[in-house]
Amino acid sequence: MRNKMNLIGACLFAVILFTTTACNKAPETATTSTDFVTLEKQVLTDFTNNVAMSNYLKLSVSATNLNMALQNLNNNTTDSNLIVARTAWQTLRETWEQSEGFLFGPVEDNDYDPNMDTWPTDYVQLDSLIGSNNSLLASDIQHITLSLRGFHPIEYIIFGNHGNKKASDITTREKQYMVSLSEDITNTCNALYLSWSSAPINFAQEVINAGNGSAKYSTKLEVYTALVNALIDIAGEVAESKMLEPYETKNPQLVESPYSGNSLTDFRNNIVGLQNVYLGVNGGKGLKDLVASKNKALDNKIQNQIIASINSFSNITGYYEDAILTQRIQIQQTMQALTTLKATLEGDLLPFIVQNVKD
Amino acid sequence: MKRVVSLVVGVVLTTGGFAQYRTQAQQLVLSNEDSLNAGINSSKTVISGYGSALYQRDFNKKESILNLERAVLFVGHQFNNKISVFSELEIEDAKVAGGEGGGEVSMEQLYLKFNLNPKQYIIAGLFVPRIGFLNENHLPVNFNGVERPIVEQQVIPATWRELGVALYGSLNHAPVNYSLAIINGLNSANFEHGTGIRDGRAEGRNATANNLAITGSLQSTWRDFRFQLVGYVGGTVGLNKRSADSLGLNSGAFGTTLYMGEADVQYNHNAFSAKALATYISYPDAEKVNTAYAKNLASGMYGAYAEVAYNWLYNSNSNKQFISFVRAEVYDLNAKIPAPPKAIYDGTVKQSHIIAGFSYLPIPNVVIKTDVRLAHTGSQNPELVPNPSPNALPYQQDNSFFNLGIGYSF
Amino acid sequence: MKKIVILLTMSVFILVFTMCNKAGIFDESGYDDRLTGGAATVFDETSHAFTHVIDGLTERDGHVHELGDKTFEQTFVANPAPINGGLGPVFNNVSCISCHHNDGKGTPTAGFSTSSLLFRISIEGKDAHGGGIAAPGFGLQLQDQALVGSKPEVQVNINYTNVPVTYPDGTVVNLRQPSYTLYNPYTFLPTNYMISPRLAPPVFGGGLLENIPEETLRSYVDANDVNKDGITGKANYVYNPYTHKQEIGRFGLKANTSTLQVQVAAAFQQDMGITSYIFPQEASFGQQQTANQQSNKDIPDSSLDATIFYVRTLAVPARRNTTDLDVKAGQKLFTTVNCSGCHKPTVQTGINLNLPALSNQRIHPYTDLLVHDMGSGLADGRPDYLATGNEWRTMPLWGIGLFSKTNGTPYYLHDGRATTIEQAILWHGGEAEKSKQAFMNLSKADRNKLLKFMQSL
Repeated sequence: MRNKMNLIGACLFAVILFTTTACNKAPETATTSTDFVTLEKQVLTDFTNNVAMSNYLKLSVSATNLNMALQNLNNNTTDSNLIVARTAWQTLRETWEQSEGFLFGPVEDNDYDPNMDTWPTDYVQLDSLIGSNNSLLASDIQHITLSLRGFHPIEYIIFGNHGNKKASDITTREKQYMVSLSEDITNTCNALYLSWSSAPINFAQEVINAGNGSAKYSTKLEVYTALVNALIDIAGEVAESKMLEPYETKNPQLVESPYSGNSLTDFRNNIVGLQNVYLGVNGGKGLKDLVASKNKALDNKIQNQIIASINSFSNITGYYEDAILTQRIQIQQTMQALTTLKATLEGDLLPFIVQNVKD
Repeated sequence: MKRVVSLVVGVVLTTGGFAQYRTQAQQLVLSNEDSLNAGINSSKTVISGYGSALYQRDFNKKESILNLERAVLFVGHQFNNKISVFSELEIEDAKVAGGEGGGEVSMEQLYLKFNLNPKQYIIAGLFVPRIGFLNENHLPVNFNGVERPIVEQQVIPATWRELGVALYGSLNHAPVNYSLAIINGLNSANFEHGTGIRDGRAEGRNATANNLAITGSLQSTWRDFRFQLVGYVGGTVGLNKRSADSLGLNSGAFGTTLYMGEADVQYNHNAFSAKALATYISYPDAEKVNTAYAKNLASGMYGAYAEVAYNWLYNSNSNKQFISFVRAEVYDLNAKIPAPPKAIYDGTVKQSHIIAGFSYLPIPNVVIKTDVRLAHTGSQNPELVPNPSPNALPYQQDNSFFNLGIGYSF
Repeated sequence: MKKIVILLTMSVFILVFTMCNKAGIFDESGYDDRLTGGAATVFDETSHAFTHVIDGLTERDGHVHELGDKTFEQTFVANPAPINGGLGPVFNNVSCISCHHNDGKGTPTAGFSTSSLLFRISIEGKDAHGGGIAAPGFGLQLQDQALVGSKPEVQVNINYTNVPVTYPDGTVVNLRQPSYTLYNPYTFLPTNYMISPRLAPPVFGGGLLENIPEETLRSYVDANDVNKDGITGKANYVYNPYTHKQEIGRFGLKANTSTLQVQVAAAFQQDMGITSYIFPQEASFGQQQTANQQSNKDIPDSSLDATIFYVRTLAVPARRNTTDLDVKAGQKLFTTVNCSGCHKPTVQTGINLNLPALSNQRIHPYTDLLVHDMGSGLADGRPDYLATGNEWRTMPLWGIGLFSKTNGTPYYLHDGRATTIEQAILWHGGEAEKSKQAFMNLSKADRNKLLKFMQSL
């Protein structure tokens, strides 16, 4: 009896083994059963809640954290507090750069982007401003020149050249300036979050209700076009502007975020932001679900190209402003990967959306 | 009549006078009158051809090139003494490769010939009408200079073939030849500034036939001279009326007409020969075409050249030839332009050239040539270069070239 | 044989004398309504609708357009800087793009980093070329920002009051009436100065407008109002400091600039303090406080030329919903109430052999580029060449339906006081009074159709 059982067991085992290996079943795509139109709405809702709102909320929190860290540093100017402030700055940058993967809506309409992230900073005026007696309250910051406002002047103060600045090097005027700057950024980030989450703009509802009462987007296709164009733009911005311009001219002065040496991380985070929009985050649906439900090959292609782009950044080491002189092949490869991705988004994804998204 | 024919044939064979060297295939179904009814009466197929290669040094660019310019295959077939077919297949620049620019394979001619009587014949198909010298006489052994005369490239398109029907003939009682052809018209949509009317040709490929052209010629000989007069009138808009209206262009067979006149003369006396040619193209509606397509076309263009040559071996009792020649050419592709802004004057397409050199023909089928060409153009108009490249070299109005070439025909 | 020759000759004669079709009038219905800019139209209704290049540029021209695009977006900084220096010493903003948002309109605030409303200033009289006389110490434009260490020329306070307008059918619409006060001048303001607010306008389509033949514009003038529609119109003739000639004005909200070249160069110099080969003198030239901060060629010639070329080669966005029945009805009403008297729906551009997409195009700019009396409600009271204090250039309406996409809050009229097209219409007066009244007398449904049509532009 026992032998028999063993035999049956062995047989069963063999059968199971056979069936599971003989045919490698493709992992089921959850979307096949979901109606495409329902999915369209779902993707917009999940993008709004899981990607955009969540990112902007995190941005707002990170800005407050930076403001607190800088106040701390102001009150107690130690090197360890400086390190905390720098980390807070980098976290804020990471969140911001990721949000650049969907640079449409209030962030561009209300100039939140240039208010925080104008590049280049104006070195000459920065020094004059710090050297002057001009009032440096947060309320003054919103009246000063864009190139003296936002992330980069703070970066200039707390990092110096590639982080060589010591806590003791930071002057009182600089401290005052950086605290006000961070307060101004916090205000901007809060306003940005509120523009999505609540009246009067309530942009989240404009996106979710596209084609269904949204004042801004009379069709779903309009918001999808804006979304995909934002992806195309950021891929292009990184490949053809942020990376290409310093690379072409071999001019380190053109590199963004040079004081902290954060440039490559910035670039990479832009594409991570793009990836978040495409894949969706926290179990939410993304553009990939729409694409995969009708064209799995295209979805694979886009996903592979996004991953290839993100991974290619690790081939470039050290500071970007050095790499433009010493690692030109690696930079070329990354720009190539991004250009390929952009071409796919433009040439395949956008037509896919135009063809398939219906109201 | 017979006397005229034998006289002409005699001239061809003995003096190598006006009539140029003919390949066998050409002789078989010849489009030119001087060996009408040559060949034999029974069915016959002939293959022949020609080719040329050149070395050219551009002294401004300080660059030299070597190019196998042309390799051409003629196939002629006589079905009977009334009907024959003639074809000319050409490979330019030696190589045509997929996905690469340059090089060209084309049918230069493919037509049927019907002899009506000993004096007249009709051809139908793709053929080169009688305009200028070169169109009918473009074998490398038949013109002086490594490069073909520039006026007959820029103003009169070289080997200008179109689809149509033509009547060729000669008078019974006077040394006069005539021809009259109806062919497809030029396509104004393809005209380009600086290339005259060349780019408007269809050359047998999907020609627009809503628009047509007629061209006729008269040739006559007197003593050592031969004179030729040619006229061409053709419509240049092959669009349907609706499309043409949307562009504000006159359409129909002769709508938006282009006119061309050409006159030439040749003189041959023993070792000495001379020729001169002048042509004018009038395109009164250039303004409308420029408006329709934002082109910069001229309403008037001219070209002229004159050449003298001397064969130093004329009296040597052999068929070798050693010819020295000088040719002067002038042309202006915007001799007359619509009032600005409907055209912008471009000095660079007003040019003059002086070519001097030698041709050595060890036998009548083979030629080795060399020459020097001095070129001069008008100045560049900055209005035509809205975004000048900061690295661009200044435009040079004078240039010179050294050419060396070989050619054959059989 | 003879027969053949005769036959041939005859047929040739028939061909020659009968077969030329004279170009006829191409029927209106043959054109695609969406092609607002003819061949220079782009199909994009996102926030980037105004940022596209026209088709058919050569590789070199495309490259120059890109360079211009970069310069247009470039933030300029104070001297001495290795690149993009020359900002100020006084200025209104730091880059083209910070006022011409997405190549579109600006934001009508003053004094903030992203403000795009600026003020022209002059005093009584005319200069040698017929233009306004610069206010001593301030020039012809007020720069409300300055490099650290200098004072802005002045600061501006904007106040809006509500002005309700009631339709014959009882509907009430609130208009914002702005008032502008100057304060904190760096030195004494002259007495009796005149100011004129100007909101940064969209920059696309300029190449097409530049290419409209002058005769066409002049033909729109009806100085004696022969057709009795209350509209006269005037061509503004203005001085071109580069060609040193009086030319017809096309650009600027009072048509006080004749070419894009001067328009762009003046914006660099006046708005940002970036001097160039066209305007080598700083906007603050002659001011005591900035006397040692003068530099006379901040931007390389090639960058300026590329920016001009960029603006010249920006495409016009296509219309949307052109087959919608309400939109079609609105389009008819646009003519019925004679909006089209000034906002000319269809204009043919002239020849431009270098840029085929701009050449001989049938475009729908909805402007005659003339200046018209717009009534006292909109008047700035400051003459600009031939334009009086009541006169403004007819604003091109192409793209206005997209302002909410390109800008978030859309702003209309010369100073952005209107935030809906309806408000903008209700501000019309003077030569447009008749049309405005006709609009107000329409039924609400018809008014909505007209507005829907305008949203499709």
